[in-house]
Amino acid sequence: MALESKQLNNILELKDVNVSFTVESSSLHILRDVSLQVPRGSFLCIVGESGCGKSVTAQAIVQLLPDNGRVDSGLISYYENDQATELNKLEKFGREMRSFRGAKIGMIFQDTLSSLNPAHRVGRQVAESLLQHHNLSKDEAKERVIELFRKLGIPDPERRYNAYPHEFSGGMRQRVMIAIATICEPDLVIADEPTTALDVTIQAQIMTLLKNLQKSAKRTFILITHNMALVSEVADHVAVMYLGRVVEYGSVDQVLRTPRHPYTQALLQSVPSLDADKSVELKTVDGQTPSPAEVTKGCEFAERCLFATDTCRDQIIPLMTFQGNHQVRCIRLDEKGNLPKQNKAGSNV
Amino acid sequence: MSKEIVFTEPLYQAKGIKKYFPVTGGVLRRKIGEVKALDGVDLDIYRGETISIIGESGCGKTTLGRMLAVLQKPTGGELSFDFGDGLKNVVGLNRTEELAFRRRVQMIFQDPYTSFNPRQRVGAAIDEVLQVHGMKDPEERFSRIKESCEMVNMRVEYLQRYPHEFSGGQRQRLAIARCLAIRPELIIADEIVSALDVSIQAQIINLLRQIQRETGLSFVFITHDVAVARYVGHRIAVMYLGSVVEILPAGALPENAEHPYTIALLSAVPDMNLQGKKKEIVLQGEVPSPIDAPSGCAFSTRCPYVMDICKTTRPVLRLAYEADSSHQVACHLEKPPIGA
Repeated sequence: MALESKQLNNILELKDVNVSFTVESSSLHILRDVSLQVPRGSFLCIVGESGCGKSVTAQAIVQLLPDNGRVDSGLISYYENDQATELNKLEKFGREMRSFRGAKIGMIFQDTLSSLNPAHRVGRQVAESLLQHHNLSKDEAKERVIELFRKLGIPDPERRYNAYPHEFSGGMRQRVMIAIATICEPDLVIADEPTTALDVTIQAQIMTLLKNLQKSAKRTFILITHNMALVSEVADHVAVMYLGRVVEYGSVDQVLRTPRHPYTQALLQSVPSLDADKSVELKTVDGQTPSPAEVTKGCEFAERCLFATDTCRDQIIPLMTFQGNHQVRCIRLDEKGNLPKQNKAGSNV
Repeated sequence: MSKEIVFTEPLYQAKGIKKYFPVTGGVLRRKIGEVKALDGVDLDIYRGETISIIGESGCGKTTLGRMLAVLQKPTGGELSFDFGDGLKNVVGLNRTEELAFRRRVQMIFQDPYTSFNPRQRVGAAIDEVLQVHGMKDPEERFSRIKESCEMVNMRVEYLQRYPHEFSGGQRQRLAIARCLAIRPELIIADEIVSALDVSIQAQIINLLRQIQRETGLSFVFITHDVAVARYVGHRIAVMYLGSVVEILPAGALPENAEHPYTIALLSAVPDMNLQGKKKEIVLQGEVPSPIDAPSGCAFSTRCPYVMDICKTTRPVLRLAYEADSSHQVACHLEKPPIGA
């Protein structure tokens, strides 16, 4: 059992969460023993490539997995006033779970056009969750929505309240999504790739907005993204995922400045920086991410890893903890957290 | 800073390229306005260089690529290509001339899944291109295909497969192989790494750079990712709302950008190494619609340094303040806005 005092500092904890999806009558192991601690008031980023399970993690937390997915084992605990609630033990669409979704946990999704109802005015869609969770009159709700629109930088909020989603640009629609997610002033906001479909200048505006929302209200944010550079600008803590497993977790400095896991290292070196030396080739990872059905034992990254040994492919890889709670799932690290100097011969197949 | 190679032999020249798309409305679908997707673009592409075109969505970079490939005809302006005996107009060519042009200029698209026929084996798809261009001998065609597959590190056995059997990165390699098979002189690559995961993206970027070094091909590399554009290209053309606002050597980024929009774009790009070290111009608002683009400078509605002249007179490309003949800016400001 973890320390009591430590739990008080966390708003959310995931412990050995396993999720599987049934696809064509076979079961795919999508999340593999995912454990995460989310300190209250922090900004946690979950990064990884497509198919690594980062979005599924978010869906599992709020119990919005697709119909063919289910949490097989593990605990998802939400802490509030010294009280823990096991979210995954609640009924999916029961009263209690609904009091979390929207009210205590806000969600922002990538695809704004399919998340907003095209037939309803946006103001009403934002006010809906207010009316659901609070005892307010329609006029009071409208007032609160317009006030929030103004705070989020939506110009002419009184008029925009009555507009339809298609009348908004992508960046403005994402602001509306943020309004829906934060109107009930939730303590925790989960944002799944909120800026991936947006241009960089708009992305910068939205990220500044999110960061301010986090700081001003001491809110906790979980941002799911594939963009390492974006992580470096906003995160306090980072979890790196690969094929359903958290392979590295730590503070933003630990993970991005001193990455330990071979996958994190490769991921960081494969994106050119704005001041990259053009005479140096980008580091690549050979091959491609395997399907979850192909890897059933050992390290998920072993097939593409330059440091992998036979042991890596056979045994369960334990989580190693280094100075300052820097957690890495790799058995090739020495006690100081360094990888062996010599690359495995003939690795470049 | 790595040293810049200067290319001097022009291969392709675009002068004052305009592309207007009509906007129709009402029951009779009458023309009620125009979208100025491209509004007077000048661009020289030199033999052996990679020029990256960057800009945000709707800035016209894809339209420019399609113009350069003559997939659509420009509304105005001139496109001239060097077939080996000097620059020659390429708009409105006859069938044989057009084929000769297409053999030299090839295009790769963002989504390779939609650019391959799902019911045709990829080998046949590549073979077809060679047949169209008049290679009659099957053995010669096969050796060409084999050679181009080797260049993109694909096994020849894979040619028997169908497009759906490949991953996104592999399909993009095959699209590149199909281009290379007829040995073009210029490849226009439109957002070809945008849909790929970063580890795969790095493989394709390295591959492109390697092909470029080995064959001396010219590339037009269209992307929205500034860091990738800088890494891949020798020169960068920055576009905003249908015009090129700055052309500069890749090595001049990020420090020596002079156009306020380029600086704003750079400061919006998250970057691990340059955190807190970049010049900052934070843009408010969004790109105006190209239907009612501002008169004068297209950027004048959002530019923090806007002057009266910007609202009335359109700036043309001129030499940058940091006098380097390959660095041009379209801006009325006499000095770069933030100390260069």
